[in-house]
Amino acid sequence: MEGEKWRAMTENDGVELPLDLARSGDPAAITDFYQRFGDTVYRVALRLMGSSADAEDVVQDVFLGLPEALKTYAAKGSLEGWIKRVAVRTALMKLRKQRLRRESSLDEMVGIVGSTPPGSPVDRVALERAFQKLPLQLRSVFVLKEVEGYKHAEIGEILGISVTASKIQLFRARKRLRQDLEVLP
Amino acid sequence: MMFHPRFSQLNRFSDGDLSGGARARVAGHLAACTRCRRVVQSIREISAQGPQLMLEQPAPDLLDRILERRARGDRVILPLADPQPKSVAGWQVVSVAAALLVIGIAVCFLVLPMQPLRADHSELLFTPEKPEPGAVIQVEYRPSGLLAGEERLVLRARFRRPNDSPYRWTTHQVTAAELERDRDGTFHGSFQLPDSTVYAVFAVEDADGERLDSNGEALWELLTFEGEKQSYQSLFQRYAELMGRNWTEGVRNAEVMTELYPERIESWYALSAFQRWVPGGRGPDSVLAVIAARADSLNRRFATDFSLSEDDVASMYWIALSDARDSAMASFWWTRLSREAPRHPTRVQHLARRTRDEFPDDLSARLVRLEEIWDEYGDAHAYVAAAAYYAASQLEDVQAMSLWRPRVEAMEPWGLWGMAEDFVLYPELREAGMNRVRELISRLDAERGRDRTLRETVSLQRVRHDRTRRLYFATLGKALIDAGDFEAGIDTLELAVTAGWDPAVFSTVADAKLELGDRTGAVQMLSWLAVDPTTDSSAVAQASEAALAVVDSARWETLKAEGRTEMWRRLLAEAAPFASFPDDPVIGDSDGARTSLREIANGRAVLVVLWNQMSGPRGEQALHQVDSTRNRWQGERAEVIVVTNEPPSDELRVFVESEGLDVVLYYDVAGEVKENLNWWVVPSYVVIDGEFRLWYKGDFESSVRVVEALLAREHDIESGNVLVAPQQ
Repeated sequence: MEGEKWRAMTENDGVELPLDLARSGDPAAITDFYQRFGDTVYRVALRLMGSSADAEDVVQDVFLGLPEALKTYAAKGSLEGWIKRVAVRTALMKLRKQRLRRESSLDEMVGIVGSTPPGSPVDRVALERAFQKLPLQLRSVFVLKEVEGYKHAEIGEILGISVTASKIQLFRARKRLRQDLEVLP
Repeated sequence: MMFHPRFSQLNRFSDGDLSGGARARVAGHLAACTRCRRVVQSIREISAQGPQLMLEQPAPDLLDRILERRARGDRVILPLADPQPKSVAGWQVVSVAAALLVIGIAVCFLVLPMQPLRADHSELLFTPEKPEPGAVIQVEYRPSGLLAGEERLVLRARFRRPNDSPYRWTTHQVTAAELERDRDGTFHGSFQLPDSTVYAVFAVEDADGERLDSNGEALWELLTFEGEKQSYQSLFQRYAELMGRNWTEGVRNAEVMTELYPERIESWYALSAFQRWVPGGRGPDSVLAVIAARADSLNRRFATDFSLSEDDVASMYWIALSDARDSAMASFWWTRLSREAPRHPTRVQHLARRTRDEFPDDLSARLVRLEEIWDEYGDAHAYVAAAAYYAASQLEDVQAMSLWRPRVEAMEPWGLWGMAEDFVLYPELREAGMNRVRELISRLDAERGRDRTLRETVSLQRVRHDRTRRLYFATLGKALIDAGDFEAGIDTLELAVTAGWDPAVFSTVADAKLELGDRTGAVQMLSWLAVDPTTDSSAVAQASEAALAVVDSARWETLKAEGRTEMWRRLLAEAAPFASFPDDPVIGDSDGARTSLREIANGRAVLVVLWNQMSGPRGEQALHQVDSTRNRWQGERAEVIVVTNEPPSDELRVFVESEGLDVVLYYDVAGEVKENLNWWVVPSYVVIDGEFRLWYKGDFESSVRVVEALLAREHDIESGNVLVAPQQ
């Protein structure tokens, strides 16, 4: 019946975590959620915000607001996907509000990067540095596409831009990164 | 001399985005060019290393700090909705999302200019008052001044059958009857209600379809009866009709359903759905608690009732999931549903939905499972087909897309455009995609009568169709160029930009012209994009950057000035004819002080947002849009205000404050704004110019554009750039 289809689009599936307890703000349930998703939220925030202090602010915001936010959670995808998307929005909102044009905190970054695979034309440390220098919009698209694996259509929804704009900004991010890495032929 | 592909081409090659011919050319070049191979390798390496960036972990005590802050009562309201896509955020190729948005808006709203305003105090009466399906209906229409001078009028209708969906997906409009004038000035006619019809809505118009009485947008309605009470199916279809149009009335209707049909579980579900949606998805705790308690009560009452119909069992499953949010209860009702109604659409739909959880990362396996579901449960499940097509398109599996396309199209004809847009992106499917677009273009003319909504005049529909047609032409033209048919592509693109103001179209055409080397033509399109008020700043910067590679800055500024003039000419040409505002409605501010709309306008253009707390899911967004726009014109050139039909109250004040909004709400004290503006669909956006004429009623972005167009026009007149003929 046609009615079932549109009705379902706004509704919820069951989930495994203690949703009801988390919605009520139960500390043990919040801990469960944190242990499962805390690293994920932190990493996506760190990549978008560029500093661990700002990333921790985002994590705090996400888990402080999670019980109330979960009340509107309608399982249209995985719970992890939903939380990650909330984290992305929270980070972007923070960035927009603060109009961050942060200078790259390179010292902080250098210590945490891995080694570069032998034979790779791209130096990992240099890539981290170049990445940190990307303008906010380009960095956001790069993180969402290349790191978090969102489709351009999803990035468009998250950032409020078109699919085309997402593709163009990814193109520009790659171009800038290559220029900064000085691997231009 | 070797010509190297541009970086953009190598980038697209790396992503597999290049079409057959271009891909082969680049691949051939790469075979011989070390330099370009290295570029492609570095692009891929950058992508591959992305997931390795910044793999730090949070501080060990972060969780403790969070729990401590919560214990102290700290709370944060998280952003749970994505921002609205800008109409244009880039200029290089057509945006699938933006294009869909444009279509969506055209369908969902009266984006277009208004025709004559209020149709005050007309009446449409039906006899018998309590008809059954198939009954002959006598119609008496007592017109207002709007239609009183006509000899003959047309009664248009949208008939709803028991299984019709909300909005206009499965319904269309028909001429129900011609009404003839009697000597006393009333109009009479009759029609037979189709046997399949359980509910209908009506509008009356003149023979040309240009003057329209939609009963103040609310339309007239006819419910069918079973004996002395409205039939359940008529109320259910009324529920579908009200969805997204008037949430206040939707709640009232659902309450009637539960009063008249308390034994129909679906009516309880309808009530809770509206109760959740009406506050815009905010669902206050108190409301959610009531809904959950009611679900619990229904569960206790019906859990051991094995005489329930299949639909009722399915409704209980929905209620367990959405109202009770109780996994044990949901599991119980799932078991009953599986046992008692294994082929019920709800069950099949959920089987399809569960494939996302079963195979979250393996779309191929998900597709196989959906095929099994399709085979097992037959081909009557649109959701299965839609889910499979989605998985196929995500996989970019053109064979699977081709397989599922006709299955989706057979059940969801409204999905044709989305798929056509998908198809033109793939060389293997491009021809099929272009044929779909051509079919859509021909449908615009062929289905003009049934497609015209009851609140839309013939002129309004023409403007909407023209806009849609231009979008189709842009997509088709681009696809033709991608397919190598440059001449036809250019001709088709030209059709897309001859009239109207469609930034998504300009974006496509700019890209195509650049690809073809028509840099002058491309720069003109870029200038139009750059001056559109809804183009975001980064897209403006990109357009400027691209243009300044072709022309110098003085020429670029000239082109933009010309673009502004072109914008207001095109936009206001579409907006005319407009109407004068009949009255000067009195409104009150939150302190109770009274003023009038004209006083607030004070010679400026005003964007009026009609809003109330029952504005449904779009309601919050409306206020946030006002909040973000109020500084746009700084109150000097134009103003944006919110008018509500709710009297000032603490609850309202607390709501606005809790949303963190800096918005002044004006109260429609005597209902004069409602009467003058046919205010029924909320939220609505209305544009009034400095001379107090109404130009527009529709969506937010279009309203902003119209305000900017009015300002640009004013600027050109003041600066003597143009001679403007007096408006009618």
